[in-house]
Amino acid sequence: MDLAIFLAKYGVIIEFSLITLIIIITYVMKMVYYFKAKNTHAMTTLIQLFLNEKILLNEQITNQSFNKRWKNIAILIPIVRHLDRNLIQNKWARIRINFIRNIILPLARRAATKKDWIMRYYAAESFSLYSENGDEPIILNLLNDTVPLVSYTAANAAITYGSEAAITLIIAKMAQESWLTQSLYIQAFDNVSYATCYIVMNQLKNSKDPAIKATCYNILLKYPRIQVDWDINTDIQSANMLLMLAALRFIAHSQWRLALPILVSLLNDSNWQVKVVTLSCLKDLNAVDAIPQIIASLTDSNWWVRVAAAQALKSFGEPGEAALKSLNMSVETIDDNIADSVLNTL
Amino acid sequence: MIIQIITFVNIAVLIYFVILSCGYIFLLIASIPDILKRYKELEHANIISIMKSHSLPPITIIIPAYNEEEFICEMVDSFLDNDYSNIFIIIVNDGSTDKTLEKLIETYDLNPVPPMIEQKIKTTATIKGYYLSKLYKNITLIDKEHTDRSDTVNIAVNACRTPLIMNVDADTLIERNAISSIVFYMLTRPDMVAAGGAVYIINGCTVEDGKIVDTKMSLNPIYAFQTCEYLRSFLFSKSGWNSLGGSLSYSGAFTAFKHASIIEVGGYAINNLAQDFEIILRLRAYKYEHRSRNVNRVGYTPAAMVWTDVPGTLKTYWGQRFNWQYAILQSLLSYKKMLFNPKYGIVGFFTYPFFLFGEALGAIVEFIAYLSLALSLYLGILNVYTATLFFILCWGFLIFLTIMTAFLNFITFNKYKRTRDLLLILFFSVIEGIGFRQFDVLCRVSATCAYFFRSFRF
Repeated sequence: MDLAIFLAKYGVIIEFSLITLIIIITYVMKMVYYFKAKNTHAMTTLIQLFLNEKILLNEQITNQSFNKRWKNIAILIPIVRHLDRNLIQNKWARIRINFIRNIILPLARRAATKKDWIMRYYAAESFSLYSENGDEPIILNLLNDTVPLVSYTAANAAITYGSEAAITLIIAKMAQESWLTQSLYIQAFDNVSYATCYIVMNQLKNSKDPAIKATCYNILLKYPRIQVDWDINTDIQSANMLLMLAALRFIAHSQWRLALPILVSLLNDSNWQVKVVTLSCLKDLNAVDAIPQIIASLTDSNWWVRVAAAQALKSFGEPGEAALKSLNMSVETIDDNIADSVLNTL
Repeated sequence: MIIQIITFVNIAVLIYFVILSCGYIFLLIASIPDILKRYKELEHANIISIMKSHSLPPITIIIPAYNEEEFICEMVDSFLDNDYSNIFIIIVNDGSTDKTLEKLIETYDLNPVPPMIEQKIKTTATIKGYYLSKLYKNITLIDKEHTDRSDTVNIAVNACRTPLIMNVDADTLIERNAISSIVFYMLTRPDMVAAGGAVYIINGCTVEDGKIVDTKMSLNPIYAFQTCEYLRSFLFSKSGWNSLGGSLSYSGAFTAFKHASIIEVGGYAINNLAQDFEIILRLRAYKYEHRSRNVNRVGYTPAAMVWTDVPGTLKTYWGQRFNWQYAILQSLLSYKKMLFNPKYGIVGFFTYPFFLFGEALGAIVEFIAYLSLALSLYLGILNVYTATLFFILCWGFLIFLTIMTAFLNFITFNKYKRTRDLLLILFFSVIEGIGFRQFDVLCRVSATCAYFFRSFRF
């Protein structure tokens, strides 16, 4: 009973004292946050003014000329991104690389090993802007980071870097992801060199894993008209649907009209997904020669195959529409947008 | 004999209160660095805008709709207007008897097509129609016969093709950056398979064209008490659990999952009123039982926020809380294998027992305490001074938790900016313990008795 009274009495006093203390601490913390944000904003403005001046005067930025207090990677990266988006003149391009090399990269190399994921993220961002020969181990480390955002960003950096080890690792990662998630990585292959293309092709030729081969085919769709020096027919006849469809898209993309005989033969495949992708490829190739075979698909038992056939014929313009009209068939009309939204997910 | 029993009960209640209070204080202390960290991360929220929109993982929003003709289009528009552009929306019309289906078809120019739904999770309902929008490539509508919510969501999960999914309530309005905040959180934590966001109460706020233009507390006491409760639950409780591997309870109104995880655990449980609670329990149990790569951590971020409608009368409040208590007991007791089981790690030793004895059965203990108090007074064995002090202590503790949460909100996400709102929170946190809390206890006791004795109900 005494214990109960003791607990109750002092508990009440402590509670109400704590409440008062919380109110005071809260207002103090609010002020601290306010001044911290103000400070960061002021620093960002100063750095932007400094860079703008250097750009106007066309002066390079060295370690010595850059204020030590401004060396905060979390502030510098957004500024560089902002300048990249808004300044397309040559002047910024001339000093940009030296600025990144002299100021940002040393910070990035230190940040890449920090415990805080935000620092590692900015490190990966820095390497995607520019990297040097010795940075490969750091980039590969970041690529294997447990935080997905850091890993995705490092993938951009690795693809830009373009070494065989980096590209191979990215392909292995992509192969484990679904089609929609792969698109996160495939974006990074925009505008990369043909050297990367050859690395991907080698990976395709040497790998036995269908998922990796399918991923390589999807990446190679980024490059126009590649010379195929491997047996692609084996992949088109693969039992693995992912690989088969990827190879199908690739052969239409790389061989163009030379792929027509193969594509037309696949219109008789038992699998509706194969037929739909084949029809989609024929549509992209403007294969008016294949109109008779496409017409046969208009009576397929699968609705999506019929839709893809109708879409292909419509896209051929007059010859295709004439074929549709001459048949006098009640073909289901469907808006291209609707069909695209589903057909493009196959 | 009776006096001895009552004394024993009084001491047991006192010990229970001390242990539970220590638990809440621990959660409160643990939540502070987590909340401050999430708030600090908002400084870097521009990371999301730095990445190109199509570089972000696509997410499917699942909206089960049953007789929601009044708000459904507003809700869908709020997702289309969201700053996260890589989203797909699957609306499932759960056999609505009003004009929900017609309104959706007309507004979004939906056209019927053959269904493209793989049966990854077993479902029971018959699909009556599958529609795609001419106006928006990312909107799908599935029309089905009326079954329970779990079956409805499972059908949408089967139709989904994105790596992330989010199940929302049809009466929830989301903030413009809510989805990017929650995806950001999931992308910045390794092995995160589910993440919950914060839910605030929309009643009292000003809404125009499906957007919240002004947030403020309602003067209606029932809304105000629930505001205090939601603040405590979503700001400190769930954040506190993050430090212990995650809570067992996330709002069904706003939780994102990895699609592969939901498929792996077999989807939502049918015939369970608290299916959102149960799926989290199942994910947590699955993690320890199977060590799967797809099923791992569960987290919470107060930076992702939505606004929901809550009951405004005592009758509707009773109905809602009765169902919740019943369903939570149903879910918790179906996983009693986890109780103090070392196989389930910290969940088995701390999280599950806390939820069972603290959250689910806490109302029973409180009810027993009131009964014991009354009996003690009747038998003349009550020390009035001690009892009053104890009551002030418990009441003060509730006020302390609410005030702490209100001020945490003030220094971080600050949803209730006005001084008026802060003062209202303070006021209602003081009067909550006199009357409303006891009403809530009675409701939950009624539900608990109904669960254990099936036919019993106050």
